[in-house]
Amino acid sequence: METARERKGKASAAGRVARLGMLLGVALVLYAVESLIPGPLPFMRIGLANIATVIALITLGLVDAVAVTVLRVIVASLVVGTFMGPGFGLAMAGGVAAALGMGIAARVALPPFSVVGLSIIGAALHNLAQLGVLAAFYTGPGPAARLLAPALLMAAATGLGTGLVARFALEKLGAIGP
Amino acid sequence: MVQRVRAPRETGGRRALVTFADRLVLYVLVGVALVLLLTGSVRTPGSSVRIEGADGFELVLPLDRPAVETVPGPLGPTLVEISDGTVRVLESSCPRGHCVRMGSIRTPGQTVVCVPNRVVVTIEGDAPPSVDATTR
Repeated sequence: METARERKGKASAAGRVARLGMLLGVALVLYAVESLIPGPLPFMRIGLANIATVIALITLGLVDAVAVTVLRVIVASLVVGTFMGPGFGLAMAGGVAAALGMGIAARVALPPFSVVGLSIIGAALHNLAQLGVLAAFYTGPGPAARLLAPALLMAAATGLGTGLVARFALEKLGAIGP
Repeated sequence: MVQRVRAPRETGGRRALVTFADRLVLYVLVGVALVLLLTGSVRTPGSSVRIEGADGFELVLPLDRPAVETVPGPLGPTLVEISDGTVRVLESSCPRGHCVRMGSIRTPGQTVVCVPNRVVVTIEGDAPPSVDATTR
């Protein structure tokens, strides 16, 4: 079987669509698994679905990583019934911020950073964007600022964890070296 | 953090699980969070107490200064005590005394209410009110 690295750049349009669909499926399954895990606040999550975004970013590129994220948020909200609800805006803002931030970081600083660093940056941006939306539309700046420290700590921990998972997955896929 | 090195594979090359830059961003993140936690914890959870009574009686007091206030009501006086950053109804002229048995409150949004004697004690502040329930 060809490795993802060999295929990257010469994958056919159909192949890209197939990969996008598969990664979207992975993202949705991870989202479903994660929603079973209880948390202190609804928007403070492990971010398992970000693993799929990272894999999309490395194997397919920035645009496809954003596509996987946006589609995951929309489809997940349609299934759960929170489409266009308050949680939807938070999830979309966090997901898009993380995907875009990781995409830019991957272009300018992938050698110093590894996938793990990208994931940590993504997790931090995800939580910061959510707090930004929270401050702008729901609670005002005071309560959001109070959540900043726990949000950053959570991001450090979850970004490290999901980054390591993404790294091992990418190794197995042959997209990055051991 | 313990640096783990992956076992060589194929090429015999060794590569750290997490690069220096990865660790740097991790430490910066945790550092910023810790600084925010330390500076943020200086603020008190609730800043003031609003005591409302019958006939437009209203009183706003700081939560950090101990005091005992007498609030006039239709059934008689209600004594509200502020101490150690908490508020409680010490004594009330109401028949059942539910307000006294509600005990102390300390976080913004919490209230003690005495319906018969028309007294409402509320803690005010800009901390996020505690969550009653969450839905997904």
